[in-house]
Amino acid sequence: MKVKLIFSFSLLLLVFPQTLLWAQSQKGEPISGIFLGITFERFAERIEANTGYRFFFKNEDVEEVKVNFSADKNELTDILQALFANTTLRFFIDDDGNVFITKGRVIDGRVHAGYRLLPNTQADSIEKAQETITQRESSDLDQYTLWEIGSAATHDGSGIAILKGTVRSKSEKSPIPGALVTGPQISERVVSDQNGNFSLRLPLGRQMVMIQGFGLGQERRNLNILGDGSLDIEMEEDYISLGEVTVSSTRSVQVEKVQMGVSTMDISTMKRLPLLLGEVDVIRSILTLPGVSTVGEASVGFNVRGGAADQNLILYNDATIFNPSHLFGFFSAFNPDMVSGVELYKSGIPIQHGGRLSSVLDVEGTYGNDEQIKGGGGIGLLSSRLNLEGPIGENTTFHLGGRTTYSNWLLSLLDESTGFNNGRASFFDINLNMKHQLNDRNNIMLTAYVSGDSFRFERDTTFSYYNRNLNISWEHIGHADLSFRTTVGYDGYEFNILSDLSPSRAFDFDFGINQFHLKTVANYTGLEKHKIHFGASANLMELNPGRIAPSNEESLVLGQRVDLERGLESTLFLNDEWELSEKLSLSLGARLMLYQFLGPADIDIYREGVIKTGETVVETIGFSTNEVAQNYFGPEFRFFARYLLNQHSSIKAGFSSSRQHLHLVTNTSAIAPTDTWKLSDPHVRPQLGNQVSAGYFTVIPSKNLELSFETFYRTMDNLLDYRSGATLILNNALERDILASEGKAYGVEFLLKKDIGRLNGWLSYTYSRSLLRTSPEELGQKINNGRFYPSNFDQPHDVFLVLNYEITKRVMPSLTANYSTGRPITLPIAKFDYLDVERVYFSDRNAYRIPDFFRIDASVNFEGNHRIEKLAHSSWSVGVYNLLGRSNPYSAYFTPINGTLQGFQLSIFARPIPFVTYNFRF
Amino acid sequence: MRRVLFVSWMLLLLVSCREIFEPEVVFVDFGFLVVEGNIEVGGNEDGLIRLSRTRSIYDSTASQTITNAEVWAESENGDRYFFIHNGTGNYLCQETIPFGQNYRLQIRIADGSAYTSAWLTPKRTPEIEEVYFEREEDEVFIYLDAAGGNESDYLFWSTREVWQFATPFTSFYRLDPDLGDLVVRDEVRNICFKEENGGNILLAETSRFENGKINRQMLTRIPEGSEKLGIRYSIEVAQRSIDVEAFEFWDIMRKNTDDVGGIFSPMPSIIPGNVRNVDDPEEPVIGFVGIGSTERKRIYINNGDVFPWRTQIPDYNNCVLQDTVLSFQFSTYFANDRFVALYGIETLDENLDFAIGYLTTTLFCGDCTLRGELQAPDFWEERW
Repeated sequence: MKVKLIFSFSLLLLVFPQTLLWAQSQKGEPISGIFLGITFERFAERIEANTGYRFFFKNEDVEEVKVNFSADKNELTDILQALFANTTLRFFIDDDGNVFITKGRVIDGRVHAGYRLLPNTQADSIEKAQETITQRESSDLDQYTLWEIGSAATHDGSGIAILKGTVRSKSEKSPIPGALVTGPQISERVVSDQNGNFSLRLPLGRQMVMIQGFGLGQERRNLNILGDGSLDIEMEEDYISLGEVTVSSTRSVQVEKVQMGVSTMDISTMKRLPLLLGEVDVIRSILTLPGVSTVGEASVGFNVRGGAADQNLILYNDATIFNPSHLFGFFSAFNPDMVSGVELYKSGIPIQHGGRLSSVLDVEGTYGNDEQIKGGGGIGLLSSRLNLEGPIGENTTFHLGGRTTYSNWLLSLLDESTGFNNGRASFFDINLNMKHQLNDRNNIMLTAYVSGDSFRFERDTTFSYYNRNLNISWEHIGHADLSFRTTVGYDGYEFNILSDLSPSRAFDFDFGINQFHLKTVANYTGLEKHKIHFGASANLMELNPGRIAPSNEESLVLGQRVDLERGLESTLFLNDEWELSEKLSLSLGARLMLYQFLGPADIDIYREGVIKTGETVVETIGFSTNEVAQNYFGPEFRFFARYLLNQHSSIKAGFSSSRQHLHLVTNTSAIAPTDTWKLSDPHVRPQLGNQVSAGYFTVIPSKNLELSFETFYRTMDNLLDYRSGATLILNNALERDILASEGKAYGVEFLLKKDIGRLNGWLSYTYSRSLLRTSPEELGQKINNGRFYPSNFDQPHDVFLVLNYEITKRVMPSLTANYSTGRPITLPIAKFDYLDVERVYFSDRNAYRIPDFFRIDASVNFEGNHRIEKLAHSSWSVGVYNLLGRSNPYSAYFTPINGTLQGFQLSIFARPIPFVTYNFRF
Repeated sequence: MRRVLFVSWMLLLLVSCREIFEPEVVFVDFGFLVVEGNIEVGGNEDGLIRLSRTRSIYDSTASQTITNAEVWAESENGDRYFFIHNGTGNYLCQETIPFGQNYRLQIRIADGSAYTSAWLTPKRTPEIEEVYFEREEDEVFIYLDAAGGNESDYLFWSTREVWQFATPFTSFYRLDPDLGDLVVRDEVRNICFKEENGGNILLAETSRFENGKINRQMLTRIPEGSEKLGIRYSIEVAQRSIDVEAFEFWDIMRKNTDDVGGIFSPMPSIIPGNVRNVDDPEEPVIGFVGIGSTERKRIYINNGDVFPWRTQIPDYNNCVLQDTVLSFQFSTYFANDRFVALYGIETLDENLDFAIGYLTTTLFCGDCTLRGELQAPDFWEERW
């Protein structure tokens, strides 16, 4: 029903009658009329037909301009300014009513004195007529030259002129966002936007304008303002803080965007966090955000708003990374050099993503710059990385990066007495991202990723796992406000245990998943006040849940294989972001998901109303290849509303629902390397989730503070728990061991953030609960007698403080502190004799907690000499992880010592761990 | 640089650390009721119920038994079959309880609390077809064959092992304190019986096998050089038919006994029982009362049956002969039971030129009762 409603909203707007009302206009006279949804070309024709204005422009320049307004005796200047506000188009109207429209450069009737004015300028072709004052070289000359801006002739006489322009970096020609434009006579605080554009109002006459980029030094221009005009500025970048500053223009994004529960973090922010062994770690970084927690330091899995770790979709440029960890969970699998930033969606998940209950972590990869071949890398205690980026030919850029460890030879150096010298642990990952521009409207992007891990504690058993991802995207910016992006790709994961303890017991165990996906997302902006996204996707998942085979001829191990599983997820989606008024915006979206469990499969049918066991099988139905054994169909909704209270604050509310067909089969609290996956089948229903949330977002501009407060309530159904003593590995009838559970989670999240200033950072606090219970419909033994109990990751209080202080531009210390409630644990609480053997009685599930977690990390980043001519630019990062040396328990367990049970707590990083990392760019 | 990296890696390995964890709860003595045993139906043997209470985790005392309870099985018709206390918390029912009805166990404890089991349907246990052993390389494996029959979905086995062992030395003399001299022993204490209750929980799902027949169910494995097969060994296996709930109970108990709590260990689970407090169903009660008939079978294995079997008893690794002891030293050596006299040998004496000296060894190495029982169990059959 709700889906239909959205369609009707859109239709209403489409059929709105295009009424035109023309006032009699003459040259220089105001313009009236309603111009709805027409091209600029058509607009110009109408104006020319009714006024004395004559337009000069290139058709391809204005193709993208959509005219959508009504005018009532407005000046053409104002109209054009509004029309071109977010474009690179500039215009100039001469005294004869000739309107010149140009891209990027402004035509000025009164050209700078230093330039020669061509004769017959206005009669000539438009290309000849233009002269710009775009300054190209940043030099002392620029600083002391007097630049004339605008034309007194075209000025409206108000005494105030509008100066527009773009700030770019000198070397990369990339736009510089966040540059501050100030001057003695400029009252407002103007900051360049994400495309480097700025616009400010100035009184006429001699002016001085200063442009300051964070770490970009300062540029100064002496201007003589005669009228409206533009001034492009190129700034020399300072290697010190390249891209290190969070753009202040994003300050209000949190307030203004309709979606909530979205956090972004750019790579430069992550690079400053003091992290374990100095490894920049995408996943550990997002743990600093409210609503995100982890069960322990040795686990890369994270929990979002009380959801399990498998409920997070982790994407790298649209590729699903099934195991985002290296070295059995100590490090995440993303090479920081190949990442520009991450976005974590805790509730306002973009409509094109779905299929997971808790969150989407969208890691954005980089495609390389288009100016010159550059490289960089880092040498850490544990791993080294290297990357190379740049253009190939005219329209293609690439970014190639790799990482590897030296832990192997380090382990072999260890003394025999440590018992680790036979251990081996190594990893690598390789990224290749490419972007090719076919033409102005079409781009092709390639993302390729491989990661591998191999480790063994004993000589005889080797664990290894691999991620493999490849996808190609085609981005098309079409005519008529429609653009789309199509992605096709493959994601794979494989886990393997190879054991050759003795020839007779040698085995090879593996499981894996292959996923083929195709997705098209279209973006339509043709309707005023609507941003419409729609599309379709298909996702074929092939699962090998487990296979064991003798690894040699002598082996007595019996080969065994769990049936392969196949499932197809097909989705149609539509989202409309609708600006109802200046203050109220809605985002309404729905995804219709059809999941099909495909043959070949043999499905056991059990007698109704009894526990599923081997005895209660009534019959077994065989399905042939590609025959649909089970359909699950249902919607995912995304409804959000934002109301702007004032310029600086807003309130938001939202509802979202989600469905998940791929389940991690785990019986441990952390993500263990041996955890395998399971697809929904006739017995394992899709996990379902609902979430309502509300929030208040505000910025305090005078203090550069951003503050947000969100609250949420979630329910989850069909979660997988397991009967006591379940066998999870190599179980061909897993449904007999599954105990369907339901969960609820609720909490409040608070974030106070300061991005600007020498002292910056953020404080996040989360209070949340995450509770589970065995589904009341479940037969047989229920966990804790069917009552709600805390989930493994129920950590009510979680506080994270991140502080950065810039002593000088070259020395920047950082400090992080984290406190969280200890996670729940099931403890042995009594012992007894049974069958003449002493045994242990365990408490209710998760009735107790391990001690609370508290850790402080500190680091200092030292930037080297940052002269641009230097061959390589280097920086050092020195720090200490767990500065206080507190032993934060990861796990607690009881084991018999001399016949008596003794409890132990295991801390992974119980001492301060110093680190040093060397980074370089060339 | 190499050195720096090396040291740092060492740090990483050393930082992981294990500390004592003693939350307050482990000191609390909950004293939950523990019920263990069977309602024996069909009269193959006596029914046995054992009652005790849990102790706190760090309690090192022996199991606390309940000796003053009333225990009976109650049929759906209201017939009662009483279990009589037989010492140390064991309650025996010597009446024959017939098949054909459902029963439940009732327990009344002196403090007034009342417990009851769920209604239980007795199951007939199929006979054990054969218990046998096989020597495979240096080890001996003991197997069982059984027919599952129609009534038993699951089978449960418990085993009890008894064997004879010998001390490395044999003492033929003892000190008579009144005479102050050695006299020949009435009984030689060099061979004793040692008993071990496997504690192993053995389960099988008969439906997984063809015709419900179970072949070569391994009961135990005797490792190379084990003292168990040094002289004569006996194993008795008790077989019971159980239902799926009982199977679940035993399966979890078996898994919980394995080490729990490592980084990747599965979460421990609560043991579901079938006994509850009549007034407070939430009170934890541990135990699963079984019901049905019990089948037993015993086999013996002599050392000669597995020849050659070299026995090593690690306890006796330090046993050596001491210097000979002369008569004037007898009280010093033998009065306080630290040493035993083995046998006399001729020795030279400075004064008498001739004397009998006695070879000695420590009490532990010459008296098997320090490790076992001299008395053979009632059932024991000698091989000759």
